[in-house]
Amino acid sequence: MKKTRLLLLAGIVAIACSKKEDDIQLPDKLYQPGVLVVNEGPFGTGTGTLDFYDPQSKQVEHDIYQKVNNLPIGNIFQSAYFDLSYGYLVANNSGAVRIVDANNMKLFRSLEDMASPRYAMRTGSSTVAFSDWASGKVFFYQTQIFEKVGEVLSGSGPEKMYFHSQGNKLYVLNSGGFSTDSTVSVINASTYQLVKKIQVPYNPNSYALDKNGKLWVLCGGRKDWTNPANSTPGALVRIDLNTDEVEAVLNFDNPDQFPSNLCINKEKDVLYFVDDKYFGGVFRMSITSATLPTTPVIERTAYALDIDPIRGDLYLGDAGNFNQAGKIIRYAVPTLTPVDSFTAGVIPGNFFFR
Amino acid sequence: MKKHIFTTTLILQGFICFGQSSLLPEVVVTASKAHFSAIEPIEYTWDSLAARHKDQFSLAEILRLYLPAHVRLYGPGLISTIRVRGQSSEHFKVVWNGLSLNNAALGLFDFSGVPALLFDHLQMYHGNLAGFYGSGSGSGALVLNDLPVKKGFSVNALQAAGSFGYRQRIASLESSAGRWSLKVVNQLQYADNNYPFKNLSNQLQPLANGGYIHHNVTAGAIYRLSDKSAVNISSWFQNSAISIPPSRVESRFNTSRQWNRNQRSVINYTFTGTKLRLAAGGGAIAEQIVYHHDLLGLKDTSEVNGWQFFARGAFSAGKRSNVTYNAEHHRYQAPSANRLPEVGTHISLLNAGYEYQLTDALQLSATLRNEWQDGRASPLIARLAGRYSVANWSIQATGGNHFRWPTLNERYWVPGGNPNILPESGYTADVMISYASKKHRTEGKIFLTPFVQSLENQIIWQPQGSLWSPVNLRKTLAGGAETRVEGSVQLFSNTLAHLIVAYTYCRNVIQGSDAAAGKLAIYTPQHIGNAHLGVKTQVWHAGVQMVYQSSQHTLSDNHPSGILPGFTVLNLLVSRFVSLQKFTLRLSGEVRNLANTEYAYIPHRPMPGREFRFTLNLQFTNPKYTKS
Repeated sequence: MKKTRLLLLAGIVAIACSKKEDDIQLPDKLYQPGVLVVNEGPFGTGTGTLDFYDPQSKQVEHDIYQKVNNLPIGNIFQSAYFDLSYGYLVANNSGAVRIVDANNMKLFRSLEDMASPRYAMRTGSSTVAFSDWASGKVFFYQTQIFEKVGEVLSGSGPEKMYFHSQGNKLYVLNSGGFSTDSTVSVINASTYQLVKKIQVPYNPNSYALDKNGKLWVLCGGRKDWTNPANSTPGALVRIDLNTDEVEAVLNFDNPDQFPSNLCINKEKDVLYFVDDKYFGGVFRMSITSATLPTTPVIERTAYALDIDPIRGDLYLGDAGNFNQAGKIIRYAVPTLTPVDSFTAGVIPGNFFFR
Repeated sequence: MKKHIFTTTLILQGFICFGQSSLLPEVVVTASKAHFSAIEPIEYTWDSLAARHKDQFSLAEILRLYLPAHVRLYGPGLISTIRVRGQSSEHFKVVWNGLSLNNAALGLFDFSGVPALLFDHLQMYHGNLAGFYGSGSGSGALVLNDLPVKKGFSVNALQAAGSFGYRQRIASLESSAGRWSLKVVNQLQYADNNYPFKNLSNQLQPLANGGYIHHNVTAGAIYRLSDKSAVNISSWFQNSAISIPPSRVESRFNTSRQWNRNQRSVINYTFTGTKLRLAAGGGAIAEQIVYHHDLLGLKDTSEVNGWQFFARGAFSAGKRSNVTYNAEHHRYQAPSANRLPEVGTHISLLNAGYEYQLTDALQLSATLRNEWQDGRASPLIARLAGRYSVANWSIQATGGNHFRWPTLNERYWVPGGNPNILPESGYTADVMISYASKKHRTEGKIFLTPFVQSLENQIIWQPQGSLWSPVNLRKTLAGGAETRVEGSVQLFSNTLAHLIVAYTYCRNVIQGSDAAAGKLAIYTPQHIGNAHLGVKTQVWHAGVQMVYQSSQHTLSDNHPSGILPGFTVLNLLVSRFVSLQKFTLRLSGEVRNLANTEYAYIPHRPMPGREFRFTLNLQFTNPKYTKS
């Protein structure tokens, strides 16, 4: 009798747990909220990967683009950028932008007419801009149909971009590419015209917008490998977006170093950066400081560095020997206490927070 | 008869000014088999099928098909390098008529566009036995030589055509006149390489910008001073124009081009007496690589110019002993915008060995070597070896250390070169067991060579500061075994079947405190195999070749995403010989990659699928023609 009851009970439980035909169909995995880790992939010989990290559960899902689309992203996966509708996965060495559905990561379309795209930035309700290293241009595409609507010659090695919606201006950091540049281009995002070139120290490579609406730009400096005496150190500059003028310059001392990876905390009042790309430690300074910091707050090589503007944690990407899976370390800000760490793909180089 | 004349005329029209060399000299390939003395290697021959078709193979293909060498090929006509026993290509030395050919800036020899037919005699030494040739021969050495024509002359003309725009034309002449022996070869090979491959979206598309032209001219003259001595003067001009296509993961705009212009000349005096053997001479090398990156508009010209002197040989030191010796001096200049100005290097080498015949069956030897690079002395390089032979069996054991100087790029590349980089060094040992048998209509040989090879201070380019620099980072330990089985059976009175099967197991593990310790070294497949089955009659030759390579890691942490899959590729070759008095016409058909296998030696550098090649070869041979 007991056995019969047990069987009956098990049957009821099984029926209760089974899926009904009229269940609401949830959309595919959203991969949000969370952190997208952009892994560049081994140079020339492999493909980049996109990992998803859930800061709440501390779970990592690797290579989500491949899993969803059964296709690789491409080589030197440089950056990922998502708006509400689309995600833009930019594979630099493959000359490809994989446009995915922002909600389920399914491939919507590939753009392959730029030689070496680096970054994407939404510039209005219906346009998105891509910086292209090889051509020195910024290309504007109309969203939904993704047809090119404009292009602007920006400078040498245009990379990261900031869109200032109030002035409808796109700020483009001309990083120098394989040579040098010392300008930040200001482009009218409606007319696709170059408005101005802001003169900065050599090779601007990253930026952060502070709580006062000031744009901080980190410049790596110029390296002359054949004659090191001609090298110039990097600098941190502050730009007034109303006048588009540089209003403060803080010079680094060591011309052998290449400062990079500027980012800002959630409150937008403390800057973080790496003093020497590939090799340096992490430094921080208040936006009110008149001098550069001299002591690292994290003594660990950071190939990638960024702060989650939503949840406030700092993420550091260690690329190891650049020929193996990298490691991500998550720190609490401002204590910089390690919160979690996980293995990423090969050469984690960028993050996108959503 | 009319048919023959028509065919002959048709072929000659195609050549215009190209002719080819005579009945091909019976080439021998020598492996490390029981090589005991540096000047008296025991050799084994190719199967005759390969020997008679060597003009159809590149040198790298020969090594891949017949020897336990791992070829790294970026694509047809593109950079091609050789790795042996898990070591990098900088540890494999190539010597041509006494001249070391490894590029002093790169440290390696690029086999692309080098046809096998340029050389009469090929010897390959593995492991310790190669150390005779100095720095950079830690895993092996390939020795290429010309042989003199003793009598008569021959003219050979070949034209080949194949899939994807492949064409080859060869004209060569070999002749003897009195004490002189002359050989001239002119070879041109080109292809469009527009074969289909699967792109990142898994769609088939033709390879673009993959064409190449390789042109080789060799001219050699040997003057016999006496029965025992001769002077050999040889020159080799090599020009290439190569379009480098983007890899499968690269943008279609990411194309580049490369022009290679290499000139090598050598003069070599040889004396072969009963108590003394000597090869002494010198040569000059001028190599230029012009590289142009289309997308970035970057252009670099890299040159290596230099000369070498050498004196090698052996002399008798009693009834049971020999002394071997080798002295070399190299001087290179390497002008390039990407190297520090006035970059150059001097390398000197002294090598001496003593061999003793303890009994009829047992030989022992000891060798010492020292080198100097720009005033720096290498550690003493030592080798001990012994060989014991009884009946059909032979066992040979060698052990010692090996060494490689850093290349000019590793020391002086701008940016990042490290003038203080240390040389790579390590230990190596192997034991070769061989058995030979001949009964009735069958003949067979079996070789088994377990080996172990360590490497310290491995030079790896890594980010240092804001740039990439070579660093002495890693230790590795490779172990494995090379096996080879050769056999032939006389099926009928005029039908012979021949089989060669070679297999190499190599496990190269990263050691020490490296983060990747315990992992397998990258680009080292654990299993390499090849097999060759041929059948020949008087007029027909047919053969099947198989090349097998297991998967390999391309990431130092052996992450699965970096595994390059293994593959098996089958080739088929059929030839018909037509003899007409002094003329021999050969018609050959080849199917490469018969099963249309998708494969690559380098990640995302796809190789062609099934392709067809046809060769017409007309040979005129003077009846007196003989070659030593």
